[in-house]
Amino acid sequence: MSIALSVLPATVSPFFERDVEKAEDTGDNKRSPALNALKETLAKSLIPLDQLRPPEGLATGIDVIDDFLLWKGIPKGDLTLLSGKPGTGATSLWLQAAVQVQQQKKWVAWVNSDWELLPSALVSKKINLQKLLVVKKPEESSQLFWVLQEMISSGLFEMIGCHLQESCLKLHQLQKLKKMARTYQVALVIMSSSRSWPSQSLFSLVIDCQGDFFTIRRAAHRPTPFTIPGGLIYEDLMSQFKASSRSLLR
Amino acid sequence: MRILCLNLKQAQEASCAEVFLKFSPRVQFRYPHYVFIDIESTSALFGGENQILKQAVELARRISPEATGAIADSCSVAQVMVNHKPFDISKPREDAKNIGRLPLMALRDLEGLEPWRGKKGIDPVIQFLQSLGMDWIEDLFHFQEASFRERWGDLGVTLWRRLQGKELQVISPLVPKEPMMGYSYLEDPVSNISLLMSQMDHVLEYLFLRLEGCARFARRVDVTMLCEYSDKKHYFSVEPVAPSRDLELYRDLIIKHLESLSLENPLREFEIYVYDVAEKVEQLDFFEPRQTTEDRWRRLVSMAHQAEIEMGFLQVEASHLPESSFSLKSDWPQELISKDLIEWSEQAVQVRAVYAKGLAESPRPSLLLKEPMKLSSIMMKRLKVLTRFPIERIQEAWWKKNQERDYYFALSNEGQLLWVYQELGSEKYFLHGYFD
Repeated sequence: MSIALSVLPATVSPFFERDVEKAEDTGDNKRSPALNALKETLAKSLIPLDQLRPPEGLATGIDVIDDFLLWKGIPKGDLTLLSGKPGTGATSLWLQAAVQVQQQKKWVAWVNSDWELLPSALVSKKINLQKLLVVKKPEESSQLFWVLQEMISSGLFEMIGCHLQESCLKLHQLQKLKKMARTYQVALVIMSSSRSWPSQSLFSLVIDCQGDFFTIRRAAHRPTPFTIPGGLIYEDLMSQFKASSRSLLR
Repeated sequence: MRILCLNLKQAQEASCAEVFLKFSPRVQFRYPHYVFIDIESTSALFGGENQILKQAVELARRISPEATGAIADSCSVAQVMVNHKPFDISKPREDAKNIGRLPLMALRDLEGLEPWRGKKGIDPVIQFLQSLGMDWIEDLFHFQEASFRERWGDLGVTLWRRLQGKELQVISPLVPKEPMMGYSYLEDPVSNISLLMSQMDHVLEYLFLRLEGCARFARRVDVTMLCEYSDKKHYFSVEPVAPSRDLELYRDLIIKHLESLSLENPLREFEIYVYDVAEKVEQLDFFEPRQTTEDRWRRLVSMAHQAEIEMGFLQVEASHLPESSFSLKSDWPQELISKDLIEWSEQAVQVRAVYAKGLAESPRPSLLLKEPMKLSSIMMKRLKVLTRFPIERIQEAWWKKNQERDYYFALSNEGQLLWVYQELGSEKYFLHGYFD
């Protein structure tokens, strides 16, 4: 009996309790001692729902994404892959999360690739430039790996973002970064033009950015793929675009 | 050189050297149970050689209850003393005098960092010397190096040099590399928590001693326990609010977890993994030294500079050209205040506004190409320009025609939102950024 009960998932406890109470209410007195015993066993072996704590995450500020994901945002202490060509919204998603992190007076970091972050665009997105460390693109991939390790282990940053090609880091390097991110509780977000990383299983969260819509391809304990309209992430930009075009036409 | 040698009496793992890092960075473990510490420059910090020996032995006895220690000028003599004159401190440059009255059999321990080679080691030498009627080590001091070399070759030279204190055995600084992991195979399967904890205590205490030696703190402890009669594994992790080295705290948390487990199937093995961090995120004690965020920041920047990697905070510059409207400043952010430029013009102060500050309101892409990419006419035909009129025009002095640009938004076939400009002098199009 106890073996069978021990394999029940924790989340079924309220339903079981309800069934047990229902059975008792129906007057099935013969079963009540057994049901009582069942209740007692369940009470010992199952964790109440209010004591369950989901893994930590960094909110993106986009309710649809935060509500859908188990981490309520980008997973902290883990790797995230935002795939999509430049100009399809990956950086916007990262910046939205960075704003939320900065509002908690914490720091974020960014490693440049062939493209650089433009501060005037960041200011319009309410990014605090004094809490965003920017690293110029290292010349060699070994330097990139080294600087990522140093940044993670410095304990200064809650979230680190970087644009990478899949050939930049080897599998064992990615594994080490994942381990370090877990140790130092840093969210490492990798943006890449390639949609098919061979080591995709190392990423806890994979989002395909396609401009008009964003697809969550991989997320722990959630049914994927899950698609989100791109307007939720691009909203600020499009309103800005419309406003500026109107002012020019006047 | 002053060497403190500890004899832990029982075979130990190489990682036990990390425990003694608090006494000196130069620590070396030698199989099976010797630890050598170079205390030349650190003994004064602990109140002299007597004090450092006392503290080191106390610490060693937490690993092995019968541990002993001794101090000498060289590693090999320190090892002889720890075995034949435990707790003794040889005066500087008096090693020979100190071991002179020891029997010849003590030469077996005259090893230091490098043990005698071969199965028999130094035994044939000792037997030969005894057959000549010698009983004490001091009897060997009358011989010359050449005599030893002639009789025993390299072994003889090594022996002579060790006796004279002329062999240089350098202890390098220890870089901790071993994983913070402890494992135990229980001789009898256990399902009682107090019995299990008595086994776990040894492993936990050892791991926490290593943490203390490495000046690190435990952020999380993972415990995996394997059952005797099945493949069932119990796994749980313990993570207090802040990183800590408080063994009692972790012990209590582990007991609470164990109490919630059903251990009907007794346990045979367990593994404890400590996730260590450099320091606590929060300062728990007022008197504890605290490393500020600024210190960590400066250390990171300085290391990056040494590796020729540029990092810093973005600062807006006074330029209307997007590519030169910002720079990276590696100063502490409090010093980064975007001020208007103030210039003295004869007796008057002239304020020149930082031009790029005003650009914060204009639509700008988040990613800018390091250098604008020229777009061919075929590439331009593939793009869909979203506005008939330019979104923005950038002009410099009238004689710099090539610096005049008309910026547009454009969409690529793949749905990328681009920032392109047309150079007014040459009518050529360039890709300059992505609204990513």
